Amino acid sequence: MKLLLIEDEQDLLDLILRYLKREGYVCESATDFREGYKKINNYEYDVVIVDLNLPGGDGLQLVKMLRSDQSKAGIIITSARDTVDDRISGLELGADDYLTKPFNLPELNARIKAVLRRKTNQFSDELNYGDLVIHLDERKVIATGTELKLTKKEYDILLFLARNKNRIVTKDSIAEYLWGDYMDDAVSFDFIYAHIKNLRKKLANHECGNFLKTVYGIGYKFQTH
Amino acid sequence: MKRLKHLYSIPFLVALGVAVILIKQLLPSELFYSAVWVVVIPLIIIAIGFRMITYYRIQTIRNQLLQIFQTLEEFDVDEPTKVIFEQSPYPIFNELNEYLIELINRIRATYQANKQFTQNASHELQTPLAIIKGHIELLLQSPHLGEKEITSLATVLQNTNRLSKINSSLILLSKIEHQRFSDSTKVDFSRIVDEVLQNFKDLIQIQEIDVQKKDNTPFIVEMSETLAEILIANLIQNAIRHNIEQDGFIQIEMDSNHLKIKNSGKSITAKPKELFKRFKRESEVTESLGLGLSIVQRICEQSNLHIQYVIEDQLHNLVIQQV
Repeated sequence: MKLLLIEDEQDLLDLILRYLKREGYVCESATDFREGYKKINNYEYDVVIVDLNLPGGDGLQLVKMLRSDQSKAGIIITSARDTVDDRISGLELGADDYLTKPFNLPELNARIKAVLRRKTNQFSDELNYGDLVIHLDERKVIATGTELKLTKKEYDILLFLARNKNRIVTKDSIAEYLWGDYMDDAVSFDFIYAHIKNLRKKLANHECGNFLKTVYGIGYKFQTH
Repeated sequence: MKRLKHLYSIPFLVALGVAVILIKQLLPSELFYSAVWVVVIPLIIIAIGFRMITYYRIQTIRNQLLQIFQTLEEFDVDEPTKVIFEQSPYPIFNELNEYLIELINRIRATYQANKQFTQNASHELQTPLAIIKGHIELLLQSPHLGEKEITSLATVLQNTNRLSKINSSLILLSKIEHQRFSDSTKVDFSRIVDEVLQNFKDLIQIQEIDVQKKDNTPFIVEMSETLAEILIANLIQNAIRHNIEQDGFIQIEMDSNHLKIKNSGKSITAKPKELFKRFKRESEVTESLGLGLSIVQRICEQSNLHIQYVIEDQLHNLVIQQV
């Protein structure tokens, strides 16, 4: 999978590149409008992640260009502009997702995977981890052959952890993914704790309890080995 | 002002009296009466004329002052409209006006710079904070970490998260203050409460809190729906978090002009009014930022709502009313 990341903040760019390379993507980057423009014109990408405020131009122009060239690339906009209007105009121009800055890396990772699954046929509709299978289209989880009855939030948490498998995912990232910014930590961490407890119980009932690991004080990990 | 007017005419009366006595002593009586006609009557006429002119002048000065007061009263530091004083026939007033306009412009500039600074500061902090958080997350994935290192990282991460939460709350506060939520519609609070309760359903169940809602007539307010959601979410979140461990309850009542959230809770030491101030919080719940109620108060101010927080017999009552 080939990714293009257009972002002018060098530190943020390095950070995202490091994170995504670990996921096994081939990553290229551009730090301003012109460089982004050139790369989009000359190469094919599976996903383009574009910041809106770029030196030398508006990221939205790049989105427009990609769509008018009938590019098959998935487009994720990252921007500090967070009004509903900004979001709508980005999505209307043909972006597949809109991520408000600051975002956390597991969230970006999960969104990239979701876009890739929609855009390409190379991603199947299920995530298969041996005893545990997640059917994405039907939002169904099968553990050792039986379907688990999960609440919506439990399913969301499991999927988020699975998309970031074998990595520690912090409570904060989960909270932001599930509820956005406005929820108080004290409340959301209680929520997460309770959901994970139930989720683990349900998984353990079907001998899949080992998938979920707690990293004390930090967060959780979906472990496949 | 009134007393001064009377004082003004006293010297004239005294002067007149002295003149009459002097003339009567100096002149024979037949001449005296003609002197009265020649001197005193014109004097009286002059006095009255003078008095009228003074009166007229005082009135114009008073009106001009009133106009200035009125213009100053209408002046809003946050509104970009230009302050205009009327041209006055008295140069001193024009000077005063010029001085006031200069002062107003300076106040506005300082205010704007201040506002801009708070806004920029929080925005500029966002990216560095995100980068710090990202790097901690990267570090956490390293396979060579011992337990001690992980504990250290956990502390760094927790505090960074706290910083970024404070920051995003401050950004939210400044957005409310700058009226970035101006999408005013008729908001039915009964529906908003239902939605928020639905979102918190799991947590309410986990904590075994009994929730009751009474709404015979709905509480409808013309305001931003987003702000209404943030307002109610904040209040219900508080009612859940500060509730007691056993037999806790939340009662929500409303009618056409008020909404009341009543919940069981721990007693607090701070005065309820104090809790609306920024960074003021009951020390017991340390994860709390102390910004939630400030946000609530700002939203109420912007939306012409009056909020009251009373604690009676360990029951917390929050009442929101239309002004």
